[in-house]
Amino acid sequence: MRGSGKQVIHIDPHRDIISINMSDRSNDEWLAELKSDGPDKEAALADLRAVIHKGLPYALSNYLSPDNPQFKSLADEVTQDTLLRVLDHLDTFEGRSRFTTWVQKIAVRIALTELRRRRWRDYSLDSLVEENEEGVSFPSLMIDPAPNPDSLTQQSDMLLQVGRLITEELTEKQRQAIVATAIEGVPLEEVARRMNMKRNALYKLLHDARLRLKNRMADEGLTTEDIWAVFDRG
Amino acid sequence: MRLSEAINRLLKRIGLDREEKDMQLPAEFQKLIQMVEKTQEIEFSCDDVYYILDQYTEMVYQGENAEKIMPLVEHHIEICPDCREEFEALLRILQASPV
Repeated sequence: MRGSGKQVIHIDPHRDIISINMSDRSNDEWLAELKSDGPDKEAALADLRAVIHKGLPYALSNYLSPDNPQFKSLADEVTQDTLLRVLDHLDTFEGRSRFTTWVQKIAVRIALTELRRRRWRDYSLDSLVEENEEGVSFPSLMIDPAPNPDSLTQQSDMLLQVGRLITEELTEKQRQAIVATAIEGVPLEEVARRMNMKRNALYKLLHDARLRLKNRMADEGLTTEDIWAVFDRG
Repeated sequence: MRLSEAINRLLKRIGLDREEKDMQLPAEFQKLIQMVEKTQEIEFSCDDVYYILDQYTEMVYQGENAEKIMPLVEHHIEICPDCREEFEALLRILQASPV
């Protein structure tokens, strides 16, 4: 059922700020209008475009200020891509949330995916492939960690033990993914792109790696509490 | 930073000052250990979370006990920085556009 009031769109041409009263459109009305042809669909699309535009400054606030020259073109691009994706997936909306929240979720995914891609454009996983070519080789360190065993402290022992477990238990791909995401802080989305896999598949790979590590630690009688215990937790 | 570099750095610090008793794990390692610590046999994947992220975020926004009702989403968001970032972005939008 359509509500009594017509949605009101205020556009301030000077500040490009749009405020909308959307409260009179129910989920069913959004769906019906977007699935229709003609002016109702056009009106719904225009309103939805405004809804997305209005939310983007908040979604992107950790990356880009609305004053940034790149903001407008990115917002336009994200809005357009979101509208296309929404129209393509209207039948998958199950009404678990407000329709506009569902749309904003899609806009957030599209926007952050693009911003992560831009921010990590120059990052390469190649440097992680040759893990043992320089620096420490975990297994050899465990065999001969130092000329004088006395020079090893509990802390270095612990680090070497964890390093050995990582080396022995995880595959090269898992090590690469763990180092990139957990140690270097690269978004999963970007690591997945470089590994030619979906983010969901990468998460599963990382989950398997964490689980293997946890179980192997348990097999060796090592708990995370043991690790914390030899370091100041900060 | 590579894992080996991080370990090397720590070893160097230990070697330079073995009397230092309050050395902290570097942040990168803390994150790794915390992630292992939080690992569960059964976890939601990114797709599982994305599927209900709109509903979950509305519940959080409305002050419902979302983390108790949907513990697997809560857990995933703790572990996965990408999904956490998307949840926080969506929550900011809802907070800025009250209905």
